[in-house]
Amino acid sequence: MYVDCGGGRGVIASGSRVWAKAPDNASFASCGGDKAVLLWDVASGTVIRRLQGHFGKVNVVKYAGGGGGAKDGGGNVLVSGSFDSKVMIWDMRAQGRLPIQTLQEARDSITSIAIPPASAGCAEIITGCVDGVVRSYDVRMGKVVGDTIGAPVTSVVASPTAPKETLLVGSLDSTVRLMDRTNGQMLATFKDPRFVNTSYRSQVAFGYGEDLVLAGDEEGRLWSWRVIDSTPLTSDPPKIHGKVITWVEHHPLHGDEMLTASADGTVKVWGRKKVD
Amino acid sequence: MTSRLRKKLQDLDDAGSNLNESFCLIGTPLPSLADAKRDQNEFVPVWKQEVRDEEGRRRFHGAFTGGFSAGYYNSVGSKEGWAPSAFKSSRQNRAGTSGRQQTAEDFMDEEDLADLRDSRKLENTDTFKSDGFTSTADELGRSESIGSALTSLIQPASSSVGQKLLMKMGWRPGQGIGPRVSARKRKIQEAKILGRRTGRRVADVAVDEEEEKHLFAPRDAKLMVFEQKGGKEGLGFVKGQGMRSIADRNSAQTEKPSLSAGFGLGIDEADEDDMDIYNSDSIQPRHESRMAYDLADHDDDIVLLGPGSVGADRTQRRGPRPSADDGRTFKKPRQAEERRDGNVWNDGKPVLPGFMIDPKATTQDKWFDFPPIPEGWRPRPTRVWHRGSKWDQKEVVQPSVPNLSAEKRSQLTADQRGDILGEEQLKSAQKSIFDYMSAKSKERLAQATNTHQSTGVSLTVDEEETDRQGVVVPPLSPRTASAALKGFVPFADDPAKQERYKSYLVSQTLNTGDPNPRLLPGRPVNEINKELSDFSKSASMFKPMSFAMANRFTSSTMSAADLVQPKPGLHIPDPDKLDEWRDTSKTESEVKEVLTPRQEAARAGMYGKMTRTEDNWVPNKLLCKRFGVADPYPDGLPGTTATAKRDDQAMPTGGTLGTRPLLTADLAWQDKFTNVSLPATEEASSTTAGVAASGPRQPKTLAEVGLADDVNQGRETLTYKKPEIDIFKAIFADDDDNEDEDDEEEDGSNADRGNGNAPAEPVGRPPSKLHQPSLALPAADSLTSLADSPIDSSSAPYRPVFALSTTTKRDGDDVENGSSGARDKSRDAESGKSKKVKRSKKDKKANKILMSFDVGEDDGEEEEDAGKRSGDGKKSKKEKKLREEDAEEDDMWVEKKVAIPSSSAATTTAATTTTSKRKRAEDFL
Repeated sequence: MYVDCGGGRGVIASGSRVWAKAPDNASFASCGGDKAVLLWDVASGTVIRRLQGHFGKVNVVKYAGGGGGAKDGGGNVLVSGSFDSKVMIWDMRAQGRLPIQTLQEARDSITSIAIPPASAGCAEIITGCVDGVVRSYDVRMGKVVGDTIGAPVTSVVASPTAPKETLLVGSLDSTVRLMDRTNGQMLATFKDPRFVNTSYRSQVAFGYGEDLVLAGDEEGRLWSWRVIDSTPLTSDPPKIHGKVITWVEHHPLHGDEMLTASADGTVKVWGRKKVD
Repeated sequence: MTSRLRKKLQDLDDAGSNLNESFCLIGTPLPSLADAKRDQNEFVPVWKQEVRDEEGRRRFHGAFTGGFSAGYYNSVGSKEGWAPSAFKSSRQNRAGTSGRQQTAEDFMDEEDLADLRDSRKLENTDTFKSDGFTSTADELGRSESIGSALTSLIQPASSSVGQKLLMKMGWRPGQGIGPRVSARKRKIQEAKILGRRTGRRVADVAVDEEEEKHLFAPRDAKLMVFEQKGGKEGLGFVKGQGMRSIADRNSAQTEKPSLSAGFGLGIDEADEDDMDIYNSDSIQPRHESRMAYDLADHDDDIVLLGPGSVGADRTQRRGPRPSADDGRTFKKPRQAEERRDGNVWNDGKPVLPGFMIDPKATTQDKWFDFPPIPEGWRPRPTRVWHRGSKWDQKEVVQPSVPNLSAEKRSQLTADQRGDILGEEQLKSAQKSIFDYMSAKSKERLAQATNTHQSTGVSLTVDEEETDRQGVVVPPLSPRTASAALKGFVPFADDPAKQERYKSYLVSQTLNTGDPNPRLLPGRPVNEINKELSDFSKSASMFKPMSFAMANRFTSSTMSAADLVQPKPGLHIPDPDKLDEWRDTSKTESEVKEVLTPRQEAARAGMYGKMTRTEDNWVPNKLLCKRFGVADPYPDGLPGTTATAKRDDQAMPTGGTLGTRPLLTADLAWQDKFTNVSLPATEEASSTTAGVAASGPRQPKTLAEVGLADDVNQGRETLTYKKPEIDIFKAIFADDDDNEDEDDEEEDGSNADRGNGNAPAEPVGRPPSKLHQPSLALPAADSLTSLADSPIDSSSAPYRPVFALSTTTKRDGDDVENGSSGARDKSRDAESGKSKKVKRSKKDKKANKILMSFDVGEDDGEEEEDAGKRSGDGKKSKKEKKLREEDAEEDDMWVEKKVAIPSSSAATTTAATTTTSKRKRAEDFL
């Protein structure tokens, strides 16, 4: 179940599998409970490569690194985060079976990975972990910075416009936080008494132009907050899915497209209604 | 298996029956990755795993890898000890012929040895058995209770040497010691023994004829078992049994019917006191089988021991009868009579003359209830035990006062005490070493040990004691005290106060040897108290030294400092705090969640410094390449001396800012100018450098340019696929095609973009003054000339002017030269243009990029420049090729060293390596 989000990178979670599309649109990677990362060829629909090495369910997979020709980052490497609390970095330019490197700093399951676009000068891998720490691995600096959030972190999203400065962090205390990456301080909190996210991973997202923060809750409602004053757009958002919303992703280029994936087995693509 | 399956299927087909069994596979099994070679990612058990450091190198080698090969049990020693045993030639003395003898045990395995051990054990139990049972042969003992009889039965399991010797001489357990005697003599012996006990006289002894023929071992003397008297009860008192019961038993015994012959009664039912069932001759043959040496009627004791030892006991007590009719008639009435008279104890012993047994027994022992515990009373043993102990807070001060004086006093020697009391010292007293010292040295010594002397022998003890009267020592938990003692100690400005503070802490630690803190001398009590409370406060304040430690060592869930440490010793809950304690224990079980300081800070919302950790992380070299950045730790781990030195060199403005912050700043700055949007980039580049460097192929950022991930890496060669000079094209067409193919292979998606880059050649760029400093790289600037690089060390240093020119120029360069390095370019700059061209032509066949450089030659004005560059390109390519020979497969994509100068993300390390060369170039320019 793959939906192309246009020129950018698309990631969709559906059920237990997570997909990441290569920047060059030629292949995409999937991961899941079989502890393997599969690399698919889009044209032929076959698995090109199988990357094995994780000892647990692979929760998230993302393309990273330079190269690839995309504007916002390359596809030189594939980063996969797993239940075995490891992040493995796979070389997409070579056929080796071993990961280039394994990041073992995490103490618990890796739930999400964010790759700030290389076009912004970032050479980083940001991981969110159930141990409540967001770790930023800076390849250029050779540093790893851990920011303790407290609650288990389920999603990290780098800001598209200022990936070096801000990071959106969703955690299992029903709170979405906007963190300042430079000093680890909290810029804003997005929460609501009715917004409940305490047991499932739900990927949060920035709205187009970063004016909104989108997050689905466990009731299937899609919440959105204004970034400016961190107030919800509507206090009673409609229920758009039958079950918990596992992933929210906004179209990286077009402001009127967005998609949501849910545990009810559906992925919905949303468009803005043209109002004349 | 398959054949069987096939057969089965055939059978089924033959039978024509429907196939109920399913042979479908659901899902597609993944093909094994490990077909060709072993999958290195597969799970390896811990003992097979190798220890590797952060950089992936093996940590342990050879003998230190662990396992059996690592010395002797992982020590460097050997089985013989630290020195291996000296070599001994076995040529002369072969194994077996000399040295130790081989035994059967040498050839036994564990099991055999275990069997051997077990068999030995069996042997022992056998002897024990025989010992035990035969020793009951002499049941003539006088022990009354079963217990004593049993005690006499239990013999030491191992026979003594004497016993062994005796047995060798023919003695058997149960026999008496001495020469064998005739049956008659033996019976007399028996009678004597019995007579001594019961006070009877030896009667005439009847002996069988058969008995007369044999000699018998003498009767064994009964082992005397003495019971130790433990209590305060009177003689003959049996514990747990009142006097009344004894009296009852006595009366019961006396009232028993005295049957003369118990015909019709079973053995077990009848009372042996009154029956003598084994006395008749008719049963005699049965006894003979029991004991060879004892044919007579006396072995009834032995027989009885087995089934009912109680009966045997009683029989013994009563004693055997010398003859069948005689015994009963003469003993029974007498005993009964005696008992009735109250002259015999119930054990048959006569009462002391002049005394009588009270027929009315005393009342049974009465147990009184414990006195009722008053309501609300709670045990408080600490009050009694540790008078000066810390947890009993109320008792801290007062009881410690007498302790103090006692302690001080105990430190005084006898001489000192005598001095105090004004005693005259004995002349013969042993002189100490101080007596032989000169006055001067004594004085010196006194000065050195001034402090100790002052508190030494003096009568200040009493003064201190009085001082302590009103002092309240604030209690501190022992843990806090010891933590504070280990941590930072304040009051550094006032050493005396610091000493007092320390002594206070020492006094508050657990099991302290010095329970009394030193006090502020010569001050009123309230001041002393104030100081002490200050101490207590500061101790709890400086205790969180453990906070820092806890931050250092965090486990996955909680820190060690957060754990409640158990108090040593017996736990006595303070009754006053019992309820409180109960409450806390309840809440603790409810909460159960222990947070690290960092998590606490996060929970409190104090994000920032409190929640942030920063560590060094060594990315893999290949990863750096893939990300298109320079290796942050090109020569090893951070923190090593080499790296530190490097940093210092590279960053004279230094401080905590490494070279890398500088670079990020560059990036940030660069973003402003180049990365806002595409047209902006074009504008910037065109305005500053005067180069129309626009086109789809132009890299968006400097970060991409010339780097490993740069799409132009391969593409640029494609760009120059169609140079305007036809000659070159004609000559090198083949090379181009090859390149093309290569590139297509390597980066198919990007290949198409390469074509549009032709107009991007900044050929017409004049070598302006502005470019001169720009040739020196940003990082090199900082090294070579500080003036050139105004670095704002406060936050994010960047150099606006020079970097700008660098950027633009480098953009151009990159477009021109692709991945060729600036340093090579500049190095060969001195050589003439024509030479360059020549060389470039020569090399063109070998190097693909060469072609791209030649493009510049069509422009007359820039010929020199371009030629220079092309030459450089050639050379650099050559070098590159050489370097690449042993590099990894995609090194041609990721030429780090070359890439660094042109990228803003270059690290200083790369920069510094190229610095000297570049300087030369600068000079030339």
